[in-house]
Amino acid sequence: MAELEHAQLLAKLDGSCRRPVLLFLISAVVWLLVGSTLALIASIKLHAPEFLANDAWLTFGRMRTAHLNSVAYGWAAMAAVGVLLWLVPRLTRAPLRGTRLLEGAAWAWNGLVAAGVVAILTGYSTSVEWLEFPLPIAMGLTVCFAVVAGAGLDALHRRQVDHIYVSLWYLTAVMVWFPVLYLTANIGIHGGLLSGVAQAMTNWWFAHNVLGLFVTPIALATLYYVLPKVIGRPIHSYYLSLVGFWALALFYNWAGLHHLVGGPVPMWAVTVGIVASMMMLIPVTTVAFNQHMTMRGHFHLLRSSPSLRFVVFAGMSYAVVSAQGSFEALRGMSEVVHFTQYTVGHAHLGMYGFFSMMMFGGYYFILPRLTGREWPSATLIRVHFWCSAFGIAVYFLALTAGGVQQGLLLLDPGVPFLDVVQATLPWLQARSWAGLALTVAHIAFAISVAQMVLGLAPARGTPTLLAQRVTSQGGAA
Amino acid sequence: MSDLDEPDIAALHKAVLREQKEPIEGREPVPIWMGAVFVVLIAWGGWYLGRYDARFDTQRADMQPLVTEVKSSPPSEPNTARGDAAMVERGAELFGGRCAACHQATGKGLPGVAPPLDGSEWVTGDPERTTRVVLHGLTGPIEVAGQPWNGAMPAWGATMTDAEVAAVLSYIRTAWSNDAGTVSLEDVKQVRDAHADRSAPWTADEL
Repeated sequence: MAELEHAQLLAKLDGSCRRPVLLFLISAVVWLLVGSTLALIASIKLHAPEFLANDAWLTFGRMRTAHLNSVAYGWAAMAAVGVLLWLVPRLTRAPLRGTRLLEGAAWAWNGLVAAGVVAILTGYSTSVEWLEFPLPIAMGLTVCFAVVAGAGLDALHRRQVDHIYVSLWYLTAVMVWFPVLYLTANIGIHGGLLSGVAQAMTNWWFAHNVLGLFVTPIALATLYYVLPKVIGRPIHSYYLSLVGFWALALFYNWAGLHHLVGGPVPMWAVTVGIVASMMMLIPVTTVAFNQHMTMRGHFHLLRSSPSLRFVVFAGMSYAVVSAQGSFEALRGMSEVVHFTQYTVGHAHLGMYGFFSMMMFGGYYFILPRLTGREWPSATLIRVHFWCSAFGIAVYFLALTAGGVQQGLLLLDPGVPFLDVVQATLPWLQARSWAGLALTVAHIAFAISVAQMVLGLAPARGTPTLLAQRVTSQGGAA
Repeated sequence: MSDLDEPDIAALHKAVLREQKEPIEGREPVPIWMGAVFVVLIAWGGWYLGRYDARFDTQRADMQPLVTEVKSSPPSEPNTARGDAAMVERGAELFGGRCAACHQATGKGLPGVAPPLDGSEWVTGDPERTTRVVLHGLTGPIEVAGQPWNGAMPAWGATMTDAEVAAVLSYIRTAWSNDAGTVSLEDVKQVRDAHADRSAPWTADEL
């Protein structure tokens, strides 16, 4: 029977990548918990400055930096690599090779991120945002990522498919883009090749590209895979996918300079960054439209499928955060909201509402196939989803409103600076509560994942659904 | 991790057996309205690029408001009829770089920070007094144009030459609605020499 053969092929592909993928995915969850704790401490300090203020390593400058790096290089990057290593064999139909090496890379990755976070906490941060790890640690991470890229490109080379599906375009691009980005930025900035204005421009070129040319492509690859997989129909349009991919590849790389609006950098360079940011509306529109047209008529499945619920939430956040980002880049907008909490809200809607939620959706789809277990509890999944969704919504709305207010007050020369600080307090308190909700979500998620990998979850063979399916078809969780 | 070592193929099959087919793409065309929106967007991008390219001048920083305002806007055109035009122009540049952050390009000052220069009797009055303020700074309560102020102005004597001080003084005494005379290099030198041992800022009473 062809269907059985196909299932056996998928099981073989899943089996080939099982150990490294699980290692990356489990490590990522640990870093998510570490990052959440650091985030909460940093957040509380902004409205209660006396909290944990007596030790150098617990001060805001180190907590906030350690948070950023543990969630960026621990949670986000390791989750992204795990999902990538699972998707590549499925999309190429070629079993993954070099899994021992990949497992080594996963362990080394954990060690390097841990060393980097300790370096930051003990005062050895390079103080270049998004590149705070000392150069030797960054070089180690580059090698680890090169191993990942090598294994992925090797599978691509041995592919058993004629047509390369859209998800695989994005994944292939990431495997080429990210090592180049990370190496160039680190060598250029920490290796002493660049100084002054060029250093700042390279810094933001890199930092923004982490979002656009690393986490975004992997999240979109997940969206393009999980969405049709769960609802059982093709992606609406190949041509929209095509425009979306190439527009991202063409424009994103230029966009980072909008971070330097109003700064002492050449005006033309900032202008190019702003135009590229606005042009990002093109790929975002195509992805959002493609997602909506694919989902049309299947929205009822959101009631039952955990994967779909997270993935669709993430896809919608992508449309919102990207459109917001395009207009935020404009000089008139920047004049008000640049250097306010507004930017922080925007960044979290992107990294959390979009990327992290997409990864959660990926976990809910992938882990049953790799562990042979079902998710232990629909209630835990519900707690995870609602605390995450509610948390990020409050987070975003509070900092967006608070940021606009802060920006307008800062522009008014008649308002003393301390009054501006006072005005942000309620919004920052709301952000801490939102952060607490997100942490609760992560704990629920971590409990589920732990039960899956420790073999405590049921192996009954039917998916854990959030509600009874209305239709008779089984579908995938 | 013992459970991870031996994949349970039978259990794996349960999860994969219920899977839908591998995803494929439909062939719906890109809608015309979307193409039209993209064309408009790209046209805007071209216009914006041309409008703010600063002719690809690497020395021209993004959004340089202070300098451009002083150089080009009409309210700061100095009344040069009775002054040395070149010196006043140099003074306008120096003012934009060193003074306008507090006293503002308009000369109207900044509430709570710095008093106005436009219409200030301290600026248009005895030039010797104004010169001392610029050279050594000013601190404490002072009344300017009928309003009480209480702040601190830094001393510029150590960082500006006599010619530069003269240029700035000439500019602020002739700019906006001010119509007092210019100040010469010799005038400034005389004041500086007369108070060579002065290091503390002046107070309004001393002036």
